[in-house]
Amino acid sequence: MKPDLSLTFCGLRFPNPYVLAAAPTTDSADQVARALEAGWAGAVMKTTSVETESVELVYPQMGAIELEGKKLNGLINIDLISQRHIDQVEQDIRRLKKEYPGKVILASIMGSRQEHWQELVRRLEAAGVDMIECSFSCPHGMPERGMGAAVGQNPEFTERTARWVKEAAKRVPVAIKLTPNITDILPIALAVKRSGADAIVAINTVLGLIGVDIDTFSPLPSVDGIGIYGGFSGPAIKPIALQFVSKIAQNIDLPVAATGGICTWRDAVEFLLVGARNLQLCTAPMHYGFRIIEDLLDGLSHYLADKGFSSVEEIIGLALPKLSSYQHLSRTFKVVSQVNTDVCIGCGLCFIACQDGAHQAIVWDSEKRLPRTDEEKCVGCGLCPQVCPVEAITLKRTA
Amino acid sequence: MQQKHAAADYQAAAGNHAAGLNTTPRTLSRQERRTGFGEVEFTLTLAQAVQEANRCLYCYDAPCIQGCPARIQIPEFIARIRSRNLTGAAEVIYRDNPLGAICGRVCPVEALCQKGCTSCRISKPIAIGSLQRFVCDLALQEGRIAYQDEATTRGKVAVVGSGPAGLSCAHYLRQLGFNVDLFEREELAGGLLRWGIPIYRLPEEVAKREIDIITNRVALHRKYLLAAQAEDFIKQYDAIFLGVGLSSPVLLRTSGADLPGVYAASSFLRTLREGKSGDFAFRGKEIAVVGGGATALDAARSAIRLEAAKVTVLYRRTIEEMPAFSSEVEAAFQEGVDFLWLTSPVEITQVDGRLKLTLEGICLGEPDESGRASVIPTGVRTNFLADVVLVAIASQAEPASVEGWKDHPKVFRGGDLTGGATVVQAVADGKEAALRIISWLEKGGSR
Ligand SMILES: Cc1cc2nc3c(=O)[nH]c(=O)nc-3n(C[C@H](O)[C@H](O)[C@H](O)COP(=O)(O)OP(=O)(O)OC[C@H]3O[C@@H](n4cnc5c(N)ncnc54)[C@H](O)[C@@H]3O)c2cc1C
Ligand SMILES: Cc1cc2nc3c(=O)[nH]c(=O)nc-3n(C[C@H](O)[C@H](O)[C@H](O)COP(=O)(O)O)c2cc1C
Ligand code: SF4
Ligand code: SF4
Ligand code: SF4
Repeated sequence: MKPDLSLTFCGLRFPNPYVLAAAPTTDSADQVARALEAGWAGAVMKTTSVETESVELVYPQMGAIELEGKKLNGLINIDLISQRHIDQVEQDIRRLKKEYPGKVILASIMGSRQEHWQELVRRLEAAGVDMIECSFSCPHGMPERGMGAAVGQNPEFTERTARWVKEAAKRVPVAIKLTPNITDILPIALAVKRSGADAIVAINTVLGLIGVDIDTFSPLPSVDGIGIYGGFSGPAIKPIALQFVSKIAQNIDLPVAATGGICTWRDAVEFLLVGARNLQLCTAPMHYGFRIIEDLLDGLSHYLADKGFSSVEEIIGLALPKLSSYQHLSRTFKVVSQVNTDVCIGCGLCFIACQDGAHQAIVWDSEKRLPRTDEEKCVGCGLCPQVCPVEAITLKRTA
Repeated sequence: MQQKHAAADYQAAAGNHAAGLNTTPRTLSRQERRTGFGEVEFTLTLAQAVQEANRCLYCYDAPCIQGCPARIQIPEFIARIRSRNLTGAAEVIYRDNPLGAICGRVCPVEALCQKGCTSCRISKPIAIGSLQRFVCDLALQEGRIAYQDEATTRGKVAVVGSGPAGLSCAHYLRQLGFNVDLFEREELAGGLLRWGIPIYRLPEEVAKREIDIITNRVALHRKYLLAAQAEDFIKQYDAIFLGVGLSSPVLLRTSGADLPGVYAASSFLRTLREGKSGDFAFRGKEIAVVGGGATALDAARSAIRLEAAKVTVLYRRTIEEMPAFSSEVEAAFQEGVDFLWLTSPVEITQVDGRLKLTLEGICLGEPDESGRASVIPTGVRTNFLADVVLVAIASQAEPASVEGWKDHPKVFRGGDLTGGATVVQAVADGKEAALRIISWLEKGGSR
C-alpha cells in the first residue's frame, strides 16, 4: 500500500505537501503548468500588487554561498515582487484553475494602503484563486516603502493589515507570510491569530549580505559597483526556519506552512515532524528545476511506508512533545565517543577537531593512522561524529 | 633472466597499488587473483557511494544517459543516493534495466555511460557502474525488488533463448500484461550470464537472483527449439522473440586444431561455470589463447586463476584493434597475462607431449569491410610452445536455431543475434522488442 501523501490545509485538499513558493519559479502560467505536470501539488504565484505600487527591478540579483565544491548552499537575492501587471496574474490564475482543477493555486499579495490590500483580494478571488497569502516579510527594497517586513516586524501593523485582508476575503482562506528578521516571533504570530487570519507561512528570507568582491570591494551582488542587503534562502537557513516553524506550531493555534531551506524529502519530513501542514519550496527548484519533485515524492512515500505510516497526516507534529527547554534536559545522561576502526579511513579529522576544538580526548596512532578515544577525557560533546566523513564515530551511552 | 624478474616485481607492485586496497571500490590484490576465482571488485560502502554521488553534477540532458543502451536515468538514481533514498534509486534503475546488479558489474562502462560523463572534464568520470551495483545489491539483499505485473489479458508471446535479451523481453512483456512462454535449451536460464562470463566478474548468486526474479513470473520451458518448428509456433503465438545469441564457436581451420590439449575457450569457460575447474590441471602449465575478444581475455584470466605458469594471448592485430573491453585488457595485464600481437597460428603439432604452434607474422593493411585494418600474412614463421591451446576466435549463430524462422512479421529478434555485443545491449534490445510487439499488436498486427 502506497502511503497517502495528501493533506488538508485551511480546508483545501493538497494532493501532496509540496507547493512552489512565491518566486521567479511562479512568475508565469507556463512555468507553473510545467511544475504541476511534474507533480507539484500547487503554487503560490509570485507576489503581485496594484498598478500604483509597481516595481522596477535591477540586475544582477543573485549571489550564493559556495562550500567544499558545492556552489549553492545558500542563495541571496535582491529581486522584488513581480514586475508583471496584475491583469496578467489574474489571467494566469484563470488558466491554471481551468487546466488543473485538482491542484491548488495561491496568490501572494503586497500593498501599502487598506484599499490596495482589499482591491487585490477582491480581484484575485474573482479570478478563481484558492487562497491568498500576504507578504508581510520581504526584507529588502519594500520596507523602505513601508511594505513587506516593515509590516511583519510590528505586531500592531500586522494585526491591522491582516484584518483588512480578512474582511475583504469572502470565499478564500488567508495566510500571512512572516519575516524571521525580528527578535521574537511570538508577538507577531499572536497578532496574526487575533486578526482572524487562517494560517501562518514561515519564514521569508533572512536579511543578509552574501559577500564582498575582494578585488573591487563591491558588496555582492553588485549593481554597477554598488550593493545592498538581500534575502538569504536555501539549505543554509533551514535551522532558522525549523526554529520558527516549531515555535509557532507549539505556541499558536493556527496551521503553519513551512518555507525556508526545504530541499530534499528528508528536510520535508523534519518540517512535518515539527508541525508544518504544508511545505513551500523555492531555492531547490530554482537550483535543480521542477524535476526534483520526483525524489521529494517517492522519498517521502518510501519513508512513510518503511516507518509503517499510512498517511503523511500521521507524522505531523510528532517531534513537538520532545522539544523542550534547557532546564528540563537530563543532568545524569552521559555519552562518550567511540570509533569503529573497521569503518575508519584514517583521515584524522576527528583527532584535530577534538584536539583544537574540544577536550583533547582523542589519541592518534600515526603509525596505524587510527584514532582512539580516551574515555577519561571525553566529555561527550559530540563534535567528532559531525566531522567524520564516513560515519565511523558514534556516541556510546555510559550513564 | 634477471631483467625478467625485475619486470615481474614491478608488475606485482603496480598491480597491488592500482588494483588492491587503495582503490575505490576495493579490489582483490594481484596475488589473491592468481590463486582463486573470488570476485575481483567489492561493492561500495554507503559512505563511498554517497561521496561518489556527491561528485555527480546532476547534469541537465545528461550525457551519461545517452551512453547507456538501456537509457537508465542515471542522474536521477545518483541524486537519490545523495539524499539516501535508496529504494527510490533502485526503482529508477530497475524501471529501465531488470538486470541492474549484473550490468553494474559487467558493463564496459568506460565505453558506455562513463565515456561521456561531464565529470571527466573536472577530474574523472563518476563511477556509475559501481554506484548502480551498490544500489541494486542493497535492494536485492533487502528483498525490495517487487514488480507490479498487470493481469495477463493482452495475449501470448513465445520468447526463445533466456540470455539477457530473452529475459528482458520476457520481463517487460509480463509486466505489461502478457502470458510469456520462455524456451531455453539449457538446464538453467541466463545464457552467457550463466555459461560465459566467469564468476570472478559475475558471481553465480548475483546472476541467479536477478534471473530468478524474471523467470519466476513467466512459464520457463526447458526445450531446444528448432527452427523447423517455426510454422507451429507462428500459429500458436501472437508474437515470437528470438534471443538465441551466437552459441556455436568458430573453430581454427589449421591442421592440428583437433589435437588433444586444444579446446574451444567457450567450453573451457562453461566447464568452469559448472564448477568443474578440477577438469583442467593448469597448475605450472603454459597456456596459449588464440583471439582478442571477451572470450579470449576471460579464458586467459581464468587460466591465471588456475595457477598456470604462463598465459599468452596470441592476437593477429594490435591492442588498438582488440575487440575486448579496455578495462578487461588492463585487468589481464595486471594479473600477468602476456600478449603477442600481429601473429596467427598456421599449424599445430605435437612435440614431446607438448604442442608446437607455428605462428605466422602479420602486417596490417587498409581497413576491410568490418572497418578494421586488414590482415596481411608476412610469411615470416616462428615457433611457440604451449601445453594447452584455448581457441576464442569468434562465435556464430547456430543454423538449427535460426534458419527457418524467415522474416515472418510475428518474429522479432535482438541481442547478439542481431549484432549486439554486450549484456546491456541485449537488455535494451529485449525491452525495445517488447514495446515494438505491443505497438504492433495494438495496430492489429500490421507493421
Ligand atoms: C566470455 C564472455 C564474456 C563476456 N563478457 C561480457 C561483459 O563483461 N560485459 C558485457 O556486457 N558483455 C559480455 N559478453 C557478451 C554478452 O554475454 C552477450 O552480449 C550477451 O549475453 C548476449 O545476450 P543474448 O541474450 O543475445 O544471448 P545469449 O546470452 O547468448 O543467450 C542466448 C540463449 O539462447 C539459448 N538458445 C540458443 N538457441 C536456442 C534454441 N534453439 N532453443 C532454446 N534456447 C536456445 C542459449 O542456450 C542461451 O541461453 C561476454 C561474452 C562472453 C562469451
Ligand atoms: C559552541 C559555540 C559556543 C558559542 N558561545 C558563545 C558565547 O559564549 N558568547 C558569544 O558571544 N558567542 C558565542 N558563540 C558565537 C560565536 O562567537 C560566533 O559569533 C558565531 O558562532 C558566528 O560565527 P561563525 O559561524 O563564523 O563561527 C558560540 C558559538 C559556538 C559555535
Ligand atoms: S565527543 Fe567531544 S570531547 Fe568526546 S571525543 Fe568527541 S570531540 Fe572529544
Ligand atoms: S574522522 Fe572518521 S574516518 Fe576520519 S580518522 Fe576519525 S574516525 Fe576515522
Ligand atoms: S554525466 Fe556524470 S556528472 Fe553528469 S549527471 Fe551523468 S554521472 Fe553525473
